[in-house]
Amino acid sequence: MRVIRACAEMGIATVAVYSEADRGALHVRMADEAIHIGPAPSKESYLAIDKIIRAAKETNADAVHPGYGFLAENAAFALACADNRLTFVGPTPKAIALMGSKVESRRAVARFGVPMVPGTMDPVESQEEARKIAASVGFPIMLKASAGGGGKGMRSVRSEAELAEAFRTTRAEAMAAFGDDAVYIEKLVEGPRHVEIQVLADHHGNAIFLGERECSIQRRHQKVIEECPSPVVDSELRKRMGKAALDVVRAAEYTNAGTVEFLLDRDRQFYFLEMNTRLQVEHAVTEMVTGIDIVKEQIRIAAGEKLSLTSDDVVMNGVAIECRIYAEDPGNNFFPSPGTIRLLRTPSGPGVRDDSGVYEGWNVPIDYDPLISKLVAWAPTRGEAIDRMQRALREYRVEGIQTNLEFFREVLNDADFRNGQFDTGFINRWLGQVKTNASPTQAERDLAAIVAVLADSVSQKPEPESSGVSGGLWKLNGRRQGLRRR
Amino acid sequence: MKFTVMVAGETVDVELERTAGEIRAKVGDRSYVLEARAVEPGVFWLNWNQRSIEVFVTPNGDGYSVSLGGHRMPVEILDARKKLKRTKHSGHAGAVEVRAPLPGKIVRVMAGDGAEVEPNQGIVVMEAMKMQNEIKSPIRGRIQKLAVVEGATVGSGDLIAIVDGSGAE
Repeated sequence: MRVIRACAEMGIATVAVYSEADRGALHVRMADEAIHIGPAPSKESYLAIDKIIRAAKETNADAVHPGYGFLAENAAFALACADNRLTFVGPTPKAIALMGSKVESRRAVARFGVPMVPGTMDPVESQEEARKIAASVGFPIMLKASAGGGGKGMRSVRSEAELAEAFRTTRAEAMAAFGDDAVYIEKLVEGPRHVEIQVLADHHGNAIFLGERECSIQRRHQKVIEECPSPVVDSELRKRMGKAALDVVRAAEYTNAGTVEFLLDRDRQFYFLEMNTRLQVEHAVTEMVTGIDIVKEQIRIAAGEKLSLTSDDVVMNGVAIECRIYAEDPGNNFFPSPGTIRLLRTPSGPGVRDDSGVYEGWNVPIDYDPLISKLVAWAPTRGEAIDRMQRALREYRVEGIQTNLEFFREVLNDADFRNGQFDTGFINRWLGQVKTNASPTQAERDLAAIVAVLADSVSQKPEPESSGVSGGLWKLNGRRQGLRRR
Repeated sequence: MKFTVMVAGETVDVELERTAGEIRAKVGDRSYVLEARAVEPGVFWLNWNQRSIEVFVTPNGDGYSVSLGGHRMPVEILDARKKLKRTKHSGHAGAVEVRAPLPGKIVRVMAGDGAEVEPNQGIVVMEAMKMQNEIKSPIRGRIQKLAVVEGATVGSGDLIAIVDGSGAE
């Protein structure tokens, strides 16, 4: 959707590929052409490189934008595009492969003096070696799978007593999840914030950074709220982090859009984590604050154009916050809640951007990540941006499936969140607090009963236009009956 | 007209009388006078004591899911037949079926045949969409039948267990 919008503004025709589960999906409807590439399981559709290449050739496409999921960080796919004379809107296969390996990427950026969390760069081979390294960096430590990412395949170890067991299970999990049991060790940074730098680099040796994003609000190592700028990064720190990010770009001979992720500790020291070699889900907050359309920049860079700005030309204006709206049930341990969206009302008005992928009547498939929208609010100050987000969340209505809208309303009310005082452990601690869930009042229950009777009496009657109740009811009934049969 | 309505598990009698532009309602022993209009598919607007209230109504199983004021409640209109069924059901002292909310794999059994469970106690751990989650018992009771084994693949709506609540209360 995001890519289709950028292309539409640039006068570029688009082709969407879709699986069985996404027949009729919003992005497919919006594209100029659509190619069905297989059944719902992503292995046989969105991850099937040959099928996507075939679709591109069949439609005489010039370029492929990989989005931010599935094959977006897959070097083999970028290579397949190159082999088939398709422009891959992203970095080179070499840069993707280099940054995709935790061990190799650390080795590469170390040469440019980018600060890193103390630890090993090489896979740790044995228990004894693990014990030695842990002793030298000091507990607590993190065990991380070399091939891992997105919060998967890592484990914190607080003492030597836990180490042997943790080392064994992390390796076994890494093997099961990634087919590679290489594991490395890092010192655990306590109370860290996750702050990342957006970069753009063209094919003419120019590279710029577009400020930072604060992504510390995470659940199970997955970002849920992101903002730009970070409430704790000032222009001096931003410059230092930006310079380090551009060093990473040079180390990887990186091109196109990318994100350099850092941990920021309580003493404002930052450490390189990894580089995401693609567009990020949260890119919109940077766009709102800098006014730069990152997807259009990606396309221009891929077309061989030179960057028209320098880092100093980038002006940060106001604050943007993003909430990732998921079809999931916070009341039931955030269990996915796929199903048909019976009613959808999206927020609008000043400073609100809703990058949604769904519509009323759409069946959120069980097959993929149940992200239904990225809701962004912008305002001149952080406080106003939070208030505006709260307003947008209240306007947002999704019926038929569970969503995490209410969860965001509560988190945004938290005093520590409002004060900008949080780290990556915030959500975990927040969820652990006892909350008094307000239950509906007697009047609310009674009004619910009355409205249900009104709705029901309408749906029982067979003929329209024969009651004193307003005409909208009949349409409502017809629509609802239609939905019910689906 | 008189109705029996179940709101979030509690049964109340609702009496409605429509006059020009107004609805007079009695819910239990409480009286309401309000304006009501279906403004959009699935959306009712109410004016009750000058309070502008939006109510969202969507079909949900045998009844409706009704949202207002930030709360979502299951509401069911009980006709004579349903009322009888409900009573009979509770007469049989609630054997409740627990079903899979979506397709997945049973990775662990936490409460086997015959086990006593509390409300919200996990019966099995299920892996779906790369996440592990407990499937919980909605009531206090005994596992009358566990329909799955560890490692089993289940589809959406498949029976996981029957919890017998008759010994409880």
